[in-house]
Amino acid sequence: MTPQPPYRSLRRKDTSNEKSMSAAFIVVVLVVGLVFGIDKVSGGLVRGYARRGGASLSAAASAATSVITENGLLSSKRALQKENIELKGAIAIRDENAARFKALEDENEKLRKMADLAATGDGVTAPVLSSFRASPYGTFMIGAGSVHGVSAGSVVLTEGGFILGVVTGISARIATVESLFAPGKEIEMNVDGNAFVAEGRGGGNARGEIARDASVAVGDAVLVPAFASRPAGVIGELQSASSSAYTTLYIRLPVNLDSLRYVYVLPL
Amino acid sequence: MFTYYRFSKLRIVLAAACFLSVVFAPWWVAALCALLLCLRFRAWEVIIAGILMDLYWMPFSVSFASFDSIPLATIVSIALVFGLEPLRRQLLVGPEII
Repeated sequence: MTPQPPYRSLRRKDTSNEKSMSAAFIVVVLVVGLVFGIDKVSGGLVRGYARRGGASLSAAASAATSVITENGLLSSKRALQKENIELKGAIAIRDENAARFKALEDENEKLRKMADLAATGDGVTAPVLSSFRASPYGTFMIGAGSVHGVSAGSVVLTEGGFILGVVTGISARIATVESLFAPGKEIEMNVDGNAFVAEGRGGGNARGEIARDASVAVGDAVLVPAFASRPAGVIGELQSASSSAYTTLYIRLPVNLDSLRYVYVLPL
Repeated sequence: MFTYYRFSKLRIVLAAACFLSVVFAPWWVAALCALLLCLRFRAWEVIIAGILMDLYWMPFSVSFASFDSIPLATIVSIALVFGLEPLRRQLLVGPEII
């Protein structure tokens, strides 16, 4: 029979452990306070460093992803075999050239729309540096900063002129944009002359309520009076219970945020 | 030495995933990694990841005047590290038991 290991009381160790954890808690709170305090006093110096590092990392990852995608390394085995065979012939070379032309054409179309938008204002076109869904605060990064004339409060638009958000943090070449539809953010909006307050839900979605007898329909553009009545989204769905005096509006951006590569920044 | 102080491959992988997801993945991925780390280890790196998340994504500098300016990720990470300590101590008391 295997002898049982002797019982060891952990009470003494626990007591000293609790003391050390209390001391550690105080130290952690002090260090965290110091970090954020320095950041606040210095006007965002620490955040600037963190964002520069993160943006560099994002740019490197994006470049690597592009290289991998363009090379077809993520294709299925069969597709890769097929591609290998095709790459040996002249037809594959033409296909590849055609695909490249299509990609360039798409990019050119996007940039042309941006240029059209730029022609109507004094803003700048900026690349999107981060995901729209990663931030818990409904923020994202763009590759334009104070050297490009962007300042805190600048309005960020899609290529179609829909408001994406407002620049809240700025450094030389990177800006942080707070989405108009950031989670929990309240925005005064207007649809077909009916004013209402919408609450951001993140991911380019918002929700609001208007009087039930208001004449609105799915697809109507929702405007933001605070930004010269520019459109911020369209009504994606309407819901109204027979017992309620209000209609709930589900508002969404009419663009796919995941595929958005460039935005347009209007200066203040 | 308690097991949950130790560095292991699992801890390194989870911590790397946590730090990378701060920048690249939806916020809940980082939160999940942080939770898993804190359930198993006394993971101080979770607090650093929380601070990084706030520094990287917060729209304004820290202030308790508005909801937008509260460093939620840091607060949650501190709560995870210290709040789960009693649970870790109960469940992961030593190498004899694990």
